[in-house]
Amino acid sequence: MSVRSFIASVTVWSAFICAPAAASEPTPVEYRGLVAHLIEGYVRPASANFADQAATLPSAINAVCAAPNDQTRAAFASAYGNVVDAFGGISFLRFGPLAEENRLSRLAFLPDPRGITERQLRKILASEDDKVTSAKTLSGKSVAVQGLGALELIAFDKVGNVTLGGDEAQPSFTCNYARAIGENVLQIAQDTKAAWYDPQGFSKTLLSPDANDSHIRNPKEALETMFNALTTGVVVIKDQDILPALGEHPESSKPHRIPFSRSKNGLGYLIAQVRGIRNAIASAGFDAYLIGADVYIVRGLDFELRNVIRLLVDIPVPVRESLTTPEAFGKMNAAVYGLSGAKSALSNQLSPALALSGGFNALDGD
Amino acid sequence: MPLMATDRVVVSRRNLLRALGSLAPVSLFAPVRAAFAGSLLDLGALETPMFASARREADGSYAIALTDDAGFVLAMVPLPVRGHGIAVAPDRTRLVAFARRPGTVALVIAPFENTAPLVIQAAAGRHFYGHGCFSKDGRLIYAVENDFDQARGVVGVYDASGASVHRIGELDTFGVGPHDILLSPDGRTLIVANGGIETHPARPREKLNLPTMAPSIVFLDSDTGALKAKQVLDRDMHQLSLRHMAQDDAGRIWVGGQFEGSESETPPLVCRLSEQETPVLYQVPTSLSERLKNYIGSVTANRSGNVIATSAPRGGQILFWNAADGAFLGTQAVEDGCGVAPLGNTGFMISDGTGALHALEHPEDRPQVLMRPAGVAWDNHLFVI
Repeated sequence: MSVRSFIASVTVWSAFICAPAAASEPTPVEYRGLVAHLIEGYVRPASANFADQAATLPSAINAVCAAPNDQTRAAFASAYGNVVDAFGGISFLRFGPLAEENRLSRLAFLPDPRGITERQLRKILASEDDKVTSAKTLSGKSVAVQGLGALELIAFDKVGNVTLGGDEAQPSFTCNYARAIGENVLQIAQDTKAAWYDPQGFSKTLLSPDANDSHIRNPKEALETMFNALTTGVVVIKDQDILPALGEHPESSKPHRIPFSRSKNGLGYLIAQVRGIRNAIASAGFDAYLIGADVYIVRGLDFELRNVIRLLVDIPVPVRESLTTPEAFGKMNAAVYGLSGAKSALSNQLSPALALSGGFNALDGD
Repeated sequence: MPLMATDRVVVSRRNLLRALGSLAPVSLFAPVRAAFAGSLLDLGALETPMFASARREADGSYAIALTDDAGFVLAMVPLPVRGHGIAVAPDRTRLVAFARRPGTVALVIAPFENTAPLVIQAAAGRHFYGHGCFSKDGRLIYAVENDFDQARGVVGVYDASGASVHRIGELDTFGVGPHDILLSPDGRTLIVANGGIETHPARPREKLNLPTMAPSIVFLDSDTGALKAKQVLDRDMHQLSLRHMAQDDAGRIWVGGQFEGSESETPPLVCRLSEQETPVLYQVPTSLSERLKNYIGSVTANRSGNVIATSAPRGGQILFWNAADGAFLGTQAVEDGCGVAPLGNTGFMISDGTGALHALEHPEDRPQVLMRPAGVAWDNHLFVI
């Protein structure tokens, strides 16, 4: 069977009860095309952006460690924030290159509800473990101490001031450790980018699936892998990043539970993730295969995500201070509702409209 | 890289698959010593809570993962196919991982010994249904199986007391499509959920008898195979396939089902019964029942046995019940959440299809995501070791 005929055999002709007369012939969902749009329109550029931002981190660390002053501290904080933002643009791509070699966990060990990174860091700092002072040996250490979360803990205090290169007792060791993290993050970012741009890499698995492969056997499964990552991405933002921090009332909120909030990048990271998911959906061009009333699914989804971004942007930075106010708490709560709506639109409307399968555990008889 | 993988964490997949390629029925392959630098785990691991579940890895392969109560993977054993249920030996030193139905492979894993898994292949004319249990003394394994040409449920009985595993007989389940199986605390009574749905491997996962299906929960004498009791639902509920079970502190059986009737109906999906008591159905509030999509994926009791958790992965909900009076206690949302196992005295560990493990100290608490490895999907069931 040729690739073309194989693709044709797995396309699905969607049925639409509200199809207008002029569109009585629905467009078949061409899964490979959607996958290609997602890879070329979103995944590769987002991976490249992350690698570009990560490339600024080692020099910013070197500068603040060599000459700690307001300017170098601000430059480091800016570089770190940009890397976190760019990371938010890819962290929901929980398949392929980021799922290989524990890359995602090595970049940021999330969630960490029991403070494992902090506990392990204490031991490392107390013993001045020299294995963390070069990127090569650091990459063999626990995933919890290799990435952006560990760097945040050693480079910022609890209110977001840069301490790296400053007055701490062990500036030299901490700086060497920070340099190793910066280089490690850069290496992982470059590896991730290279893996996505490699035509023989995971892109090939998605674009030219092998029917004999146990993982992705056809273009529909390829799109399901990418689509489910979008859905899971929304769930992670809502259930993992926001809800544990939100609590029942403003005064009982725990904003320190929002990832990267220590460095005042908590809101930025949330916004970057939502923007990333929104942009990925836009890049896919799902609209082309929706007619009649289903056309409004993508528009409604986009409206929902845009609204979530607007709500989050309206919350004052830093979130560790603002979330305890009723105004910010209300907006964060509204953002959760918006994310629930987006999740529902993805799982209950767009997924069936594209004839994609449901959750891993939703099959009959198991 | 500690925390997520260690040098001795994985059994050689290549050696395992090579061995599986030359299987005879009920066979045992020679332990692949080269794959082992030692046991997968030290016995000291048993001093902390441990969990086991089948899962799909990021590369699409399948495995059994053993984790601690923080969600860290302690050991992995690759599977040739998607796994499902796991039987845990009474002394906690051996596990049997069953392939998802209509699988024909089960693996006996001894994580604390320097031995390769033993492979059990289903007997001719039989396939596994995904669940099993050990006898009280740990010498026998009971596996629910399909005698597919006769459309008859059986319990395959395996002698696992020696260096190899032998099928020594089978018991009738007096029903069709057996799924979950429990051993009663008396050590003699087997409790089997006959889901009632007829399937045949020639038409995988197709349901062949929905208009006439007749699910039941049977109590069998494990020594003689005699039917001690058979509990069935009222006639109008015959399309509620009874599939997964747990036992509460009073010895009663809680059952979760999947409804095979009209999608417009939202019947109760959970019931409680015993050898002497006929089933009593329990319903959730109407606003919730419509979201469950007529499917319960797992049932378990907390360690105290006074609260039952039932998962509804299609609805993304975990439901909690008071075991004493059947009162509905509430629900927690977990996307594609299905595996549930007791955690501490009052809590539960929950696994989901998006890769997360959640801890819940009390049913009224929001589940806390402990770990979410990228690309992983936890299968339907989570077991405490």
